Amino acid sequence: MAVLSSGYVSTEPIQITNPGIWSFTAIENPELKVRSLRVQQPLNSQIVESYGQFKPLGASKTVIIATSIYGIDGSYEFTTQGETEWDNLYPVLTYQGVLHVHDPLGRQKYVRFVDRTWTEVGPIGNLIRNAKVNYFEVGAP
Amino acid sequence: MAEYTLRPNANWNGDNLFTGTGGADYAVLADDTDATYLLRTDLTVPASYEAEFGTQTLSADETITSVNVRARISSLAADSLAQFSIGVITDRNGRAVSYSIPITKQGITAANTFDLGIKLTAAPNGASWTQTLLDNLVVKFTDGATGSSILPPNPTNRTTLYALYVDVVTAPRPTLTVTAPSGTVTNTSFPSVTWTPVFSDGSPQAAYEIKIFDSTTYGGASFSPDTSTPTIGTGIITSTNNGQTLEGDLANSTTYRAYVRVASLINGNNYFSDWAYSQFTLSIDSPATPTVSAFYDSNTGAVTVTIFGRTNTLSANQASFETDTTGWAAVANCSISRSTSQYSSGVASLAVLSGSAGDMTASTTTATKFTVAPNNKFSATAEFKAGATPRACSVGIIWLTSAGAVISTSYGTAENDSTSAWNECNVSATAPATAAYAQVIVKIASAGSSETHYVDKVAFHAGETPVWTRGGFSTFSFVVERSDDSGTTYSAVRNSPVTASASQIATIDDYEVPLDTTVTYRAKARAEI
Repeated sequence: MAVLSSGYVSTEPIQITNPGIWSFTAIENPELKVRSLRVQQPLNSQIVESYGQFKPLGASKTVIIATSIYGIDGSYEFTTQGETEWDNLYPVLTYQGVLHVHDPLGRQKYVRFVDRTWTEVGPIGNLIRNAKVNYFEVGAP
Repeated sequence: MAEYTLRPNANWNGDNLFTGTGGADYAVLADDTDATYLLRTDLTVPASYEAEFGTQTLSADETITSVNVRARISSLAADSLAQFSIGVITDRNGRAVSYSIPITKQGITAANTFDLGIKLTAAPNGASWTQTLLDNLVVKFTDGATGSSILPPNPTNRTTLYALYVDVVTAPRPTLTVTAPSGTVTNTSFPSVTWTPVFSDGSPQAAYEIKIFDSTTYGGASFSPDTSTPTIGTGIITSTNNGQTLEGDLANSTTYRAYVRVASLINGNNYFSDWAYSQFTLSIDSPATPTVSAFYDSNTGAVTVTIFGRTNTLSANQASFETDTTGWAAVANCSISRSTSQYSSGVASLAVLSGSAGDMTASTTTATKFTVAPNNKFSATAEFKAGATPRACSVGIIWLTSAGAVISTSYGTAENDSTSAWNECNVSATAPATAAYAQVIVKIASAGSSETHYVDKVAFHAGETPVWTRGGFSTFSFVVERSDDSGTTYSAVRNSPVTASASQIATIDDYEVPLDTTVTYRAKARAEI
């Protein structure tokens, strides 16, 4: 069997206005996603660099030899109210894969959640949960 | 493989410490007689003499694989010690020389010619051998005798050097002939590139590289297969294979050249042939260009790209009747047969002969019904020609349930055919909510008795805007790409290529679309035949 291709056809240009919300999508399993999630500020971020520090004999200053610098890692704090919101978040919170993130500023990156903790307060029928996840920025899968 | 032997042709250094008997120092080492020789005559121990060598002009199609030294020496004592090393003059004015590690011969009491086994695959300065380095060769001979009898007038443990040889071994550059694709490629968008390499030294192929350039690129003034951007490039592949099917598809109706180079492995590095090429033109009955639409779904946060393949779902014979009428059946008031007297494509058409006056219809068979998706648009097209009397002709789609029951028939606008030219009729209609299958039907209205009309170039496909392509395609998929720089560059959307449904429809959700940025999507169809 030979494979044949047609020519290309293009759509009209389209522009998607930033909805200004948080969205987390398991990009390899898009059914698993959560949008319009409440993410608490401030956002905690850090960039880790791989380096070695040397203090050569006779030198007056430390010498740093760096190799890689990694992505923007950090943590998110989510707030959900009631079981419906929590049930929407929970599969994403516990997803052991790469999540695609759109933030309200329209920025996007790929993250992997690695630690999850949460607290529950309020009446049983309307629990408010504050969940904190630590994540690493990773490459697109 | 070629081997050249170089001989001394000048003194480079240390000739004041040695004496040539029978000629100049370098000259006594360049003849092949033991009657002339070189001996240390200085009290300094160790003492070194260095000779320059005549060179060999290498062709552009060979490379040095090794440089070695042979020396003919002897001594009167077992405690003689001679050392040899190869050097390259890196700065002739500054007298700078890089040397290899010396090789020692000790206690040679009978004249013999020794292969010193130096065999340098790279020059002593660490660089790959070049013509320039070969032109600046020296061999350093050190008399390092020790002991009580090292001093003139007649020290017995001096080494007598009769002759020096430098052996240069080269490997030929591989050559090749690109054997395919060539001429006109009619059966694939992914042609295979094949070649016949020639390694005259018997080396195996170590690597190859393929670059495909279109005619615009290779016809450009500054074209170079080394630096110009190819349509497809494989990079350097470490393999003994003499062919590869391209992993990217090429555009139809375009002339290309497949440039290939092959390499042998010389001292751990690829030694490439020059580029060779084969020119070919892609001229294929390609799948139809699909239709594509995209919209942003704020609920999912993704752009949904929908592609309707418009490639003919009919078999090749159903579409053009080149073999027989298989896949077609008379429906009302007619008989059908294959005719070679009239045709719009190929060499045959479907002849529809009326049994009596009135409408006549023929359709594709229920056994070959086509899968459709409810509430989606589908199209059919057919060309008609009158045998004698023009009539109102139309093409239609019979909608069937999953059980095969007829739901309805959608006809396109009827148009009179002609005895002198083929006339195309079309229909585009939405599949009913309960539709699962469809058939194509052709209708000639109000025909006279025993009247013949011809039908050719029949197609059925998803989407609007009917188009005829040859039939017989299968295994449909779509390549979907996104551009965020106004169409200058495109990159594949995740999960592209996407497999089409049985009715040639596919959707793909792009969650990674950049926000507040103008993007364009494009798609093309792929199919097997």
